[in-house]
Amino acid sequence: MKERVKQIEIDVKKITSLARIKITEEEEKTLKKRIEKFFEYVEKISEIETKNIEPLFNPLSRETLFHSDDVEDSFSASSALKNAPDVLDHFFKTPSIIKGASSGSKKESKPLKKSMEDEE
Amino acid sequence: MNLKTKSFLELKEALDQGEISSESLTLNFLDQIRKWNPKLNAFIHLNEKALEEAQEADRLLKEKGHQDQKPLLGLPLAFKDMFCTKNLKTTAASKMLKEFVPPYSATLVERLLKRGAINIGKTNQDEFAMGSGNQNSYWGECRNPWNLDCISGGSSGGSAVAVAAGMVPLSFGTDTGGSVRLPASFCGVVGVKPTYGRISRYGMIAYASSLDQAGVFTRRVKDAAFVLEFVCGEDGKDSTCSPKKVPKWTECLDRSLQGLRLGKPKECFEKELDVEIREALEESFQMAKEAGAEVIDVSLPYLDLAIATYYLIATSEASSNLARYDGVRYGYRAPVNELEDLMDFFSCNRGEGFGLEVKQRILIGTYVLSTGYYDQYYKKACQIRRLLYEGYLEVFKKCDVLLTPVTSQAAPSIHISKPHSLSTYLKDYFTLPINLVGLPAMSLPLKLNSKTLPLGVQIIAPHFEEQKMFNVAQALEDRLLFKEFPHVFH
Repeated sequence: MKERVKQIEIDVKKITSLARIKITEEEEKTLKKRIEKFFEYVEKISEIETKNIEPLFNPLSRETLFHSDDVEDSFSASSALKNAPDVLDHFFKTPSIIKGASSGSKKESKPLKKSMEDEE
Repeated sequence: MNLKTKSFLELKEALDQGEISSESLTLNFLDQIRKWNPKLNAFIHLNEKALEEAQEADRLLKEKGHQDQKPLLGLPLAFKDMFCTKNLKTTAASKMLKEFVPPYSATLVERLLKRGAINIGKTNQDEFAMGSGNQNSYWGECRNPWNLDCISGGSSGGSAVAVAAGMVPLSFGTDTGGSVRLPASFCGVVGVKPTYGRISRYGMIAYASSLDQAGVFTRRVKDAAFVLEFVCGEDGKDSTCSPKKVPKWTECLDRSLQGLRLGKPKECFEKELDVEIREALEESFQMAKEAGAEVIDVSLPYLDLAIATYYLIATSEASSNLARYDGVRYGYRAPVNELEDLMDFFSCNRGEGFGLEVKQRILIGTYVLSTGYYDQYYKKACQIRRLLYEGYLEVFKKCDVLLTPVTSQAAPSIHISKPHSLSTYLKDYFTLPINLVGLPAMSLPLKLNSKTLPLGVQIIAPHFEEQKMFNVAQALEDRLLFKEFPHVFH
């Protein structure tokens, strides 16, 4: 029996923009083929009647849990910063990104008042 | 005593009786790792303090009286690199987290270390648990100890291999679509995934939050039942972790299956299966009958839709879970000088930090959840998930436990296995539906095939009824006792 396969066209570039993932041209070619093949395969789900079927998002049904808002020990600022790619004092440092300008600009923003003490 | 062949509980007894020390045990396993890891690539980071911790455990063992509070005192084990281990690198086998050192440990890790276990190190896996061959790792492929040209299976390949190759007597993995059960089957070890919600996912790097569950690899069924008693149970840090009481599974391991109804889902056995796997499965049904069970034919009518359903849901959840990796507070940051804007910054970090399979799944998930497609794909998949769920509940009215294959073939050669193709996705037919429905399931090694590759059987129980699954597994293990060891042991 010949399987009827719907031809699917996917705008991979648009999805990479939504997903915030840059891909190379070669990756785009490869991924477009694979992703389209995937969506051709999953098209079979459209044939199943699911009117009035309640979607299942999680197999364990629990009500939203609440807990009391108590102060507990947490990470120190320095341990929270340990994995940061770049640090300045108690701040996570990122490139200065201003649309149209190069990231080499030394525009310094006014430092915020320090609100956390280092516990170590 | 050949320590590599001993089960976790046998080693525990030897330690408790003073027959061996934790230090000699740890040295033994570190030696095996040193010898074989270059070929197998099961471990990606070792705990440099393991020996020191073993020596401390020996001190406490000599003092006596600590075993009540620390029933795992001095016993070595390993963790898949999806589990945060405080001050020890945790990378999810991704360039994105290649330097990440967590400031905290996963609840599962804490519960084990608190009870005296020794963390030997972190094991290899598919990147962010996305894959079923352990071929998508930033740290390189993992190989099967039974045949170095074959894949270990994944995504928890390293953890399965670590136990199969006698590098540790027990290890932990994660299972989102079969990532514990499948490598367990390929590597000839026991692999258990309990009910979704049994084990806290706090500190376990998220792939797909409604599907992920931790699982354990062991040499014997009883080892798995024993250690899971300590890690399961409510955790305030994970609201999807069930408050249901954790039974003492090891105390109720019933060897007789008298009165047990064993379901045989016809859809599974209508699939194209390797001849030797089919034979092995039939033998296990026969053995279960000899132990007193009744075999009943059952049907799961929506099973053929499980793969499509799974991948639509898993990729959607992954696209959301992996959105946190932006190179701002931790993780990979691309060394780029010219950036257009903030989105460009994120896109470069993520584009360079993630491997191809991860990117593929995030893109699929993003599309599925996007405007105009959400109802057609995501909502539809969740509705079919409901149908599958109801289908299993219906079947469990007629039987107590299901027996199915784990895979349709034994571990394939690394040269023919195509990790990124649709055909690879289709191979997860038997394991995926379990995660959609949240059932407990395990893989039990049955025998070696004519190419000396292990074959396994999957045992599935209703939600929170792991006892039934363990009982069937124990009864089969008693009769089969898979006593084979790969050449790396000799």
